[in-house]
Amino acid sequence: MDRRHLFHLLGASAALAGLNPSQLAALFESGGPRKPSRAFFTTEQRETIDALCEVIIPTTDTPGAVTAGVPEFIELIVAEWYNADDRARFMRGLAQVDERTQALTGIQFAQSGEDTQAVILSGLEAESRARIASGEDTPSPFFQQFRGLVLSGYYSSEIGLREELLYQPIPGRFDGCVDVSEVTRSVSDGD
Amino acid sequence: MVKQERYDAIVVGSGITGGWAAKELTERGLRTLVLEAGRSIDPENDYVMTTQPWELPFRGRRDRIRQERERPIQRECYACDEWSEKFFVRDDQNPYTTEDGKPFLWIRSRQVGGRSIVWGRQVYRLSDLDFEANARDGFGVDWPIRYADIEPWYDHVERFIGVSGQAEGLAQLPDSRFLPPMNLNCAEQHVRDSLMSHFGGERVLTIGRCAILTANHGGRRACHYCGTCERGCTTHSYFSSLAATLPAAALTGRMTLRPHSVVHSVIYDPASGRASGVRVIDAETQETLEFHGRLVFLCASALESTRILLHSASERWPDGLANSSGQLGHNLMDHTMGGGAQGYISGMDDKWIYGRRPNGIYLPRFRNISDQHPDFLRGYAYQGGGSRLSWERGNDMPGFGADFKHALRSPGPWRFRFYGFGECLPRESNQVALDPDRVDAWGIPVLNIQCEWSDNERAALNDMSIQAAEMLEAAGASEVSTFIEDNPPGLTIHEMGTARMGRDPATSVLNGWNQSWDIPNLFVTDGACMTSSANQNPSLTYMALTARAVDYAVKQIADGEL
Ligand SMILES: Cc1cc2nc3c(=O)[nH]c(=O)nc-3n(C[C@H](O)[C@H](O)[C@H](O)COP(=O)(O)OP(=O)(O)OC[C@H]3O[C@@H](n4cnc5c(N)ncnc54)[C@H](O)[C@@H]3O)c2cc1C
Ligand code: SF4
Repeated sequence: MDRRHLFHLLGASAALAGLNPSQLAALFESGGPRKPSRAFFTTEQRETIDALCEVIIPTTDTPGAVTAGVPEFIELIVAEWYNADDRARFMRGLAQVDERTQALTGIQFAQSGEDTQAVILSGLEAESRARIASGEDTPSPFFQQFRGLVLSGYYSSEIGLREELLYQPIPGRFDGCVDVSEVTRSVSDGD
Repeated sequence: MVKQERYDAIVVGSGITGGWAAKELTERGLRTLVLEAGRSIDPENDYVMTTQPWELPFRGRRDRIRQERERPIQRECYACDEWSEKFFVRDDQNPYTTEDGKPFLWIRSRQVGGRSIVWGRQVYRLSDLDFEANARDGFGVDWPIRYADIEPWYDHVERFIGVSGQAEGLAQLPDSRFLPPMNLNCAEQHVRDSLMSHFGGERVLTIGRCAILTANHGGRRACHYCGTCERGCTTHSYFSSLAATLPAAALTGRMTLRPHSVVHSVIYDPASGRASGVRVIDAETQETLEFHGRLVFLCASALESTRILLHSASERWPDGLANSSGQLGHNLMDHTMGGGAQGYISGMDDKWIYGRRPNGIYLPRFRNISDQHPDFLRGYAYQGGGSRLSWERGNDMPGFGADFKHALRSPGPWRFRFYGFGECLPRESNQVALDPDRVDAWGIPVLNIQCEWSDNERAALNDMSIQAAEMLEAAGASEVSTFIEDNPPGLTIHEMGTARMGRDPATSVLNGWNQSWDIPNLFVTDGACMTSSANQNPSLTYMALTARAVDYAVKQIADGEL
């Protein structure tokens, strides 16, 4: 059922709007088991994505989203998993992040300081919450969409599962009721 | 000139029922040929138990675009994910047709081991409440057997496969021969206790009964609680034919297992009135072969066995072999699923679980046992359970940054969910037939499937959600919300009934021994034989009926009847 939830977050549907020719071409690339090609976004888009990832899941006592490879995961999903609607929504939202930062400070999101980045993201989140609260039956707003990708990318990465959560590949036994201790962490569910 | 080989018995299919037929036949001394349409599976190389999400291109979330092309139907099954999709058929090679607006999702595996490699392992006995159901309300025909007829065979099967569970002494859900139960978690224990006091023992929440070893058993190792069974179990801790029955059959030295052998039809010999063998297409070479045997056991799964019979029509039986009754292909059933509710249990945030239990809870049928609900006949049961939310809850929480990350490190609130599975009435109009216009990758006509839920099933789904909410409220859960999913038939993967057993050759395809009324050496022991569906997961019953049918057939041979 959590998988269904993920599907929901990643999926929905409609037009190939807002894509440049190389991005369109990338959609039709295929091949065997592949690593994220990193061929989909422009350098500037990648900088913005890296910065967004790190603001959402920063490095703390464990590595953050960028070290965990989340930007590459996002690139793969947007390029080779998303349908045209979700992709267009993503690209529009991503462009807006920089437009707003530019309007506010005159520089790009990635080059801005932590405070500015937090302000921009909080603004996006507030709008996103308002949209969701309005009960409108629309696909999730950019903040929700982007953060969903960061979460699913981080918590399926080796760092996210092994270092951030409790990794128990072979627990050896099951106990349905143990005391939560100081070190208790969410268990990696393996998917 | 086609090649010919002779055996004592031929078994079609190597899944849950084929494995049992092979084991029982060979152990009784019969030289047995097992014909399997799919490839061999090598656990060492094919099982993906130790593959981690980060080792897969899409981290387990499947290659959406390729699945849409190759497995647009199979992907609807929760287990057909990025790890396990290879254990499911490709829909483009194995098509079937349905009418517009009447979807049926036919979820299949073609491989040595069949669906036993990916099944959910839940096993429950039927009771006389089930075996008498058709006779009681007049839907379908009466089962030719009662609980007492099958009980020793449940024992026999359970002793071999290993079933963990808790004895509860309930008449509607007889206890199995149990290995130690897995434990309920704290939330589940709390709900069990609350229901016991609130419903006076009428609604019993118990741990799921499953074919998973909680102790070493029969040369197989106890479960180590990794929790990802659908990827294959290299310690063979859950029952599959590949891990258990086929090795037992092989040990006798009397089994020949032939993969890539697509059974095309059963060969009928008008002179003897018997099935003389089967015609096979080699899936790799497309060569046609014939194999002969004294007994033919169809164990290809309910709809595939039915399809083989429909495709074996002859002058004598123009509408399908052994179809004097005209019932072959009719009375298709599946279980409904997805009426239920969920809520949150407070007061135990200081409690947690260790390990990943590959099993949930079960709440047996409580409807229409001694009284009659005004809206629907028969019953339903729940699976589900309690768990603490993990990082996914981040999607519904405000925030980002270090605090957000840190909050997701700890387990979230306890959520409890009841998820119902309901009985489906047998109806003649729910049926399969050969589609004259389409063939599969081996040139065999495909099935046209017509199946719809009726108001009875819908009314029960509705009641499932209401009762689930009521029980959660009785257990003091908060934020209780109900749901009724709109799942098409087929998706519960308990398809059955299309060559039913009965008491009368005029209205049933098989007798009380899974034996064709028309052709005495022909047996069908998979789900096709089911006279009613009950609401329990059915595979345990298929296994017991298979073992029972073999015992009967071998005795008939000894008695000179076959
Ligand atoms: C994800 C999932 C979860 C499930 N969970 C449960 C559960 O918890 N409890 C439960 O009781 N049931 C469960 N089931 C259902 C269970 O798997 C089936 O009821 C069971 O496997 C049926 O056994 P079978 O032998 O009839 O068919 P299968 O196990 O499907 O085996 C049939 C075999 O026959 C072969 N075959 C088909 N046609 C031909 C042909 N023409 N020639 C030669 N060979 C052929 C197939 O390739 C296959 O290997 C689940 C199924 C799935 C997919
Ligand atoms: S949970 Fe147990 S039965 Fe399932 S794959 Fe792991 S060890 Fe095997």
